[in-house]
Amino acid sequence: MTIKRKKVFSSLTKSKFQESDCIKFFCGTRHLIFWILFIKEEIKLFKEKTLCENLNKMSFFGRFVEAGRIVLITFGKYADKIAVIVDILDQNRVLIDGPSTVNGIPRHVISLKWVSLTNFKIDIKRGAKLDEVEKKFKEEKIEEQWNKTSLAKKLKLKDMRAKMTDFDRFKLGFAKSKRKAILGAEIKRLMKEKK
Amino acid sequence: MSTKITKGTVLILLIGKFKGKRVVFLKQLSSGLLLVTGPYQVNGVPLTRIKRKYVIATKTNVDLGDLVVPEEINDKFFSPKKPINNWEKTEEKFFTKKQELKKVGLNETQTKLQNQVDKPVNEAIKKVQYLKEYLTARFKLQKGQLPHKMKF
Repeated sequence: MTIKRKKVFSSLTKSKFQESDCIKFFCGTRHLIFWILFIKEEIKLFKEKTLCENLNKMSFFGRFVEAGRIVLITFGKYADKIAVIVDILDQNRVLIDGPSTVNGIPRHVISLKWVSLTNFKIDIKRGAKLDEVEKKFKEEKIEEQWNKTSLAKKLKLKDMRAKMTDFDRFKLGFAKSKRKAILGAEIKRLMKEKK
Repeated sequence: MSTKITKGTVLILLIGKFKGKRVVFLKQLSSGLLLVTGPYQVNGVPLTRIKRKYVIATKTNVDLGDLVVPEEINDKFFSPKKPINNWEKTEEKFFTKKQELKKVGLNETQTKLQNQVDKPVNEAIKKVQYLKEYLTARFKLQKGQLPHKMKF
């Protein structure tokens, strides 16, 4: 069943309900009559845009698996690092690149299960070479933008905590206890004043 | 991968009276045991020997420089010093009260050697901020801390 454009337009002009909010569309096949109801404004918008754009507008997705999409690698050797999707292999796998000159992450195939999409994207064509990827990556200053995000900061903190030596851990605890003592004394003083 | 223990490495004792204490490694004795000191003024641990097995080596190092441990401090130095009980099996001695084992404290030479070794170590500790407090405190595992995931 296809909605034939000519028929739709002709029905618009001929229809009895032209000036009302709801307009009936007549979509017919050989033996079936199919009635579809739309609101006037929606029709106007629908006419202006392509089908794909309309679907995207209706969908709730903003981050797509596409060439140039920046991803955060969540498992494996390069965990907690960002990379660029260079090409898509199939439903589950993509080809990513650090870029290798910036990140040290070589161009390799990775499962989408090991990766999570970010908001960032660079404008490269599918299968772009390292030079181009590197150039666009540096132009857009992706690393700087990524480091500003709260997730990047959290991952950095997590990494720092894991690397702490026994002495570092002691110093941290010691500083916390000192801080608590100062705060405690101040709070006590304020409570006394209130009374 | 185990941390290499060198002169001045801070170790965490895991057994004995001083378990949990952080001490400074001096040298390995001929018996294979590790010679450590608190230092005594910092955390109350005197010159003692421990097995490598009962110790966690940390990455923290006290800069001891050219410290040379006196030759007198060897395995014999640590041999137990009990008063000799001449327990002769005679009727007379059977009915007399058993001679109480006196608690043997440190003698003069021992304290002298302790101070001699501790002096440069104390000086080295003063140079690093919070190191003294670190050696005073005992190591404790807190909730959520997993030793196999921690880095020392």
